[in-house]
Amino acid sequence: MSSFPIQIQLRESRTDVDASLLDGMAPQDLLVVESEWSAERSLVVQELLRNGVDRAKWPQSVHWNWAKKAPMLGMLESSGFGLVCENRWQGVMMTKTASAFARLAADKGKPLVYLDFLEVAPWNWAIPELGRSGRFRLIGSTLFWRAVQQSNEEGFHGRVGLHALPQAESFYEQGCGMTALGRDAAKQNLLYFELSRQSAERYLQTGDNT
Amino acid sequence: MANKRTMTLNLTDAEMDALEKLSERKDLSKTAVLRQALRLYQAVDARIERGEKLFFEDEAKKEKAEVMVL
Amino acid sequence: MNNKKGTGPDRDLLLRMGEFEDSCHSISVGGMAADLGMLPTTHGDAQRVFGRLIEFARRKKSLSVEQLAERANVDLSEIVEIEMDEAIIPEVRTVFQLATVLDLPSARLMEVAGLATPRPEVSHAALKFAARSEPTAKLTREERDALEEFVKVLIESTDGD
Repeated sequence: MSSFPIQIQLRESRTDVDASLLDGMAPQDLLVVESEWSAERSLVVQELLRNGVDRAKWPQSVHWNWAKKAPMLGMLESSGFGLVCENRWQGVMMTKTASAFARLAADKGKPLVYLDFLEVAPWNWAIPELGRSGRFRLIGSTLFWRAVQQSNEEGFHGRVGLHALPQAESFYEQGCGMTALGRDAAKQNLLYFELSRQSAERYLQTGDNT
Repeated sequence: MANKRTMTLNLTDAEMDALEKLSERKDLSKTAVLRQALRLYQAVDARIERGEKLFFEDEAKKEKAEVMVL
Repeated sequence: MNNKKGTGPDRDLLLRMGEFEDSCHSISVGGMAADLGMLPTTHGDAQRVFGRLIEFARRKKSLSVEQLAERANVDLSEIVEIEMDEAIIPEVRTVFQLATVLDLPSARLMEVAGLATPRPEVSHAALKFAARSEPTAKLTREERDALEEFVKVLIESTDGD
């Protein structure tokens, strides 16, 4: 595993905090992630139930289990990245590098980094219905930046593809500059997004992570 | 990135030709093409080992053909 | 562990992205349903209605998710996962526990859960049930009818086992 220093922010005060961006996560790291996150997930679910929050407003990854994804990290094409701060995993991402190809006309058929899974730790979730503001911010943005760097390191020129949960669509389209390419019947009808080689340039100009 | 080791690879003219064409078409270095091929081969092999089948589907012709993987 | 040196993301770019990240309820990637990774993915359509069946049967008994978890001695998060996740394949023990608390035949429930090959009549009833039911806060009369018809098929196909 290798580590890269990075700064995230406390959500309330917007104060910068030192964190580490790690790559090369091993299957056992995901077991630790799940053990750290599952208690907080249960707490969130109990609060959502107690407060009668409409299910449409529940975080759509509330029921995930990272431990179940651990075996995938044994494959050559899968990589795991995590962000650690205060000695806890604050966000985790898994990518694939061989089994997905670009769909945008300009890049069609070219390899890309497929962002398979990304989630921030449940204590960082902002759930206004529960008065939860979340401890840290910028975690998803930092992990997405790392996916673009990986794509560049692999020689894929920053191309990234992903299927976003409905609650996340505006982040990937407007926040990350990805192009929406329609709903995918094979992927639970989720919207597919792609970052073109051209759109990736802004991430690579100052992001020489070597 | 992970530590890397070097190996020498002997290819026939036809193999080198195919590698060069793929490298150009996929916008990748020749090393990267071979790395992709290995990743994909491992991923396919793992799924076949689990009892899954590999298909190519032609949506326009509504045809589905199983790919033989030994 | 190696410590790498290098330039991080452009701070302004990251902060701009952060504003969009903050405005979303979630920024997760990975499918509405938990991806089970290496588990088999070839299960029948009948299995997809398992979560809805459990949810309806629970509501018919006027149980909260927490009460069902407690009575069945199953983790609360597992019940939530079952009810929210179309692709989940639950643990065998969980299905037995739920069958007991919800008065459903456990062998047929295994089929609906994707843990056993469903009989044709179970698949058929499950599809019919799926077509007639929508997850809502309270069971409507139509949903109650749909649930009762499905459960009737499950029980009838259990006779003679």
